[in-house]
Amino acid sequence: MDKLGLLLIAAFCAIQAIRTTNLLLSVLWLASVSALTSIVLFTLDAPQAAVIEISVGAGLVAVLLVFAISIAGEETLQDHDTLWKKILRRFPLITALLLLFWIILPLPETQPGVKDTATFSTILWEDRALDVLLQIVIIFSAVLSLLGLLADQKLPAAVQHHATPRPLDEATSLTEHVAIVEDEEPILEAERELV
Amino acid sequence: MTAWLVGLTIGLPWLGALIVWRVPDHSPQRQHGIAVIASLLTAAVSIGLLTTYSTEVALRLHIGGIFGDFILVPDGLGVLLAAIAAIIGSLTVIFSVAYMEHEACLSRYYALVLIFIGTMAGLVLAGNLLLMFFFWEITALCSYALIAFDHDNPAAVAGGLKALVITQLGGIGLLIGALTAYGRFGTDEIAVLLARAETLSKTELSLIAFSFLIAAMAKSAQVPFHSWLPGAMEAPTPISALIHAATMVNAGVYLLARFYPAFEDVTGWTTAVMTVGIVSALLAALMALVANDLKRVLAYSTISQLGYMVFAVGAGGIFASQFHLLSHAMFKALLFLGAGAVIHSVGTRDIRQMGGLWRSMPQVTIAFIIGAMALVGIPGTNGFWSKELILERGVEDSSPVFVVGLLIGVGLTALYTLRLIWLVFGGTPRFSGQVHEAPSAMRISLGILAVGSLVTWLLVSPLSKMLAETLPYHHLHSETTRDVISDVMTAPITVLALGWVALGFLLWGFHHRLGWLIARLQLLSQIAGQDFGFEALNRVVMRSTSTLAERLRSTQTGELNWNIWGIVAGLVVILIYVAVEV
Amino acid sequence: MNDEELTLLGVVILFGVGVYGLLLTHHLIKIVIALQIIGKAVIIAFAVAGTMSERVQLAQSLIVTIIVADTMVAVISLALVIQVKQRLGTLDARELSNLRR
Repeated sequence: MDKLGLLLIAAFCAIQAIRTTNLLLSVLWLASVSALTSIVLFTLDAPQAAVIEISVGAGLVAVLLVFAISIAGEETLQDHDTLWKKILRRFPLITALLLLFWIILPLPETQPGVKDTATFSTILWEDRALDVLLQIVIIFSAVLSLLGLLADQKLPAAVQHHATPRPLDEATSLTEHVAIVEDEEPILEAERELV
Repeated sequence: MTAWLVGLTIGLPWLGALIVWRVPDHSPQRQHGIAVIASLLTAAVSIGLLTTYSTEVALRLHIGGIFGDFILVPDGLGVLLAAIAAIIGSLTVIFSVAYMEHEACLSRYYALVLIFIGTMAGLVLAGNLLLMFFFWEITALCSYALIAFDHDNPAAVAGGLKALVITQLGGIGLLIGALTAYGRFGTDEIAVLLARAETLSKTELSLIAFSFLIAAMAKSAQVPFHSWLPGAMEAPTPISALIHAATMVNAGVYLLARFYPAFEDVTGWTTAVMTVGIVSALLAALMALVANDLKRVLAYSTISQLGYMVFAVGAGGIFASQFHLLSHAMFKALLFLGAGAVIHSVGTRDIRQMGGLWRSMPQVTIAFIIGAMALVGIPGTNGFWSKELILERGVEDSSPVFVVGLLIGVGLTALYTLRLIWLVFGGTPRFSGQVHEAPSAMRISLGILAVGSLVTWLLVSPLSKMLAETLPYHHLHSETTRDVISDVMTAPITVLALGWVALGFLLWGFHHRLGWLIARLQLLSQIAGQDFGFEALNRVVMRSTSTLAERLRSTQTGELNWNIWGIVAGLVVILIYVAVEV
Repeated sequence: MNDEELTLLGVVILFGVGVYGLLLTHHLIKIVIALQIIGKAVIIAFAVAGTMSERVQLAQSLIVTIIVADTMVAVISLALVIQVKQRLGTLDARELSNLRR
């Protein structure tokens, strides 16, 4: 019962995270979802997972999001859906959720299988060694691609042409160049602040 | 050993394609060299494969999942067609060295040709329906890319697209048949379908049979799906010789021959196959008679000859059809390459602007005439023996109407072939400028093919033995060359056919005095020139396909929200299904 | 309803909220946030499955894998978001899909 309560609060936070127009606030709501998730994990006897979840989910991801928002700028967007479009959008989701409840509840009686006797660390490092290896590979490749994505902050000439499909005569290309330089300035500043 | 040969027949050209793809355009000699070496090696391997045919699975690729293993079986039918693809492929590549000498993008050209050769071998050696479908579609893709090779020419691009769309639509038939068989048997192995065809219900079997027939008709350019083949003549001429005369268009005949034992008892199937064959043979011959484009005449004649092969399958003459397929591959590749040499030096494809070429290019003329003799069926050439076998089969196993149709077709073939030769090589030149004899690379290919057109009929006994030994469901019995000779020589139909050939020749000989008859037939020739209206039909198919594609494109918005909406809607469908089942 | 069923009910609701976010938002950063929410719902579902089958330790190790993969997804997509903003000047997914037309 307490878990359901926690999860409902988490769902409320999640809705707030999605609906709020302020991006920084939305990150805070996400962090609280993460915190609540980790509490639920504690109550489900999964303390290690809970610790990792709160440090990574509420800590690392939140920091990354704030970092990204500070670079990309707080751009807020508005929805202009008509009412019937809104209903149409939500309808299959609600149907799917109701059907899911109907199918999975009540749960079938489960026969307990092989009980875990080993501790978390032996399972993680020995039984699931392949998973750990895979995680290392994922982290490694993510770091590599991150470096590749963030390294080249200067726009090469070719990309400018792609971004501006208008025919380029000299005057427009000059003004655009200026515009792009102006655009870049605050970003570099923001970066410097963070560093 | 056999596994290696099978693997190499498919893998070598693919490897060559990869290598030639990487060769930069400023070293054309290396591009030519690599392509020639890769195709010659493939031809050598395929000849090795001819000696090691068997019904055993040579190569088994474990794919896992629900599809089981992909298998390659080098049985007689498969190795015969693989060898035809590899050998004629290597000859056309040699021819291309001269023909494509100053063209750009040779890497692309040779890579696609080599991919095609490997894929064609894979298509005929495949032991699974789905693997076969996979290769089937790749051959269509290569054909499209090579027809549209000159992508600055709108006619070439349009022709390529038409070929692609129509053969793909036919390919759906193959897919439907394959999935039906898979759904029933739980495996898509061809041998299983052949062995257990009678356990299927009547509806299912006829669904498979007629789907395969449609796939074969689209691929082998049979009426009413034939009009992509004349359009495909925008391709470089060696491509027309390889893909659109000797190999890919035979895939349809191969498909019908392969599954004939499973479908022969389906009500109306054999009659439908025979009708399609006869109608194609006659209509295409009429269209060849009025066409003025050298390559289009040959394309219509290909449709007509494929019609003979399809008819032979329908009449149960599996051996006759495959024998004619071999002969046709030889002489039609020869004719196309000869036409290529002519077009290369004259610079036009319009036969009204040729004439008198026998003086300036005597060797090409001789080769072309040998090919034409085989096409008409003059005794001594391979075309004579195979066509007579088909006629004999027609007399034995079909109604007199079909036999009369076959004979009229023989006469028409003689008529349009003589007209073609006369307009191209005979008379006085109707063009200006110098014409030179073909370069040596072209003459090598033409010479080998000309010799082939004269002697391949001597292979009857080994060929027949090979097919009889490795096709257990077809119930073929092997025949020796001597049997075939005595059969053909004593059959009355042979004399009749030769009479019709002579009649065809006579008609052309006296066509100046037959003005009144030609005037009477003006309407017919006009309709034939308009492709009997099938061109319009094909255009409707093309247009509706592209309209449908354009409409469907609007569902691909690229917007995440709608994609998620689609996923959730799909989830609802699945959940409803689960809920109902539970 | 017993404890596990109630928890699963909460999990499905949380998951639904995440999908709802993906359905509605076209802000690139919000998309990342919605993906995170879905990931959290899945994690709890795994923990519930672990308690039910009495193999919590196994479930925990799987959860760790999920967290790692999910975080890497977030990292890469945020880097992409930054690049998109710098090169194309927008964070609106709809505007992005209009660009090529």
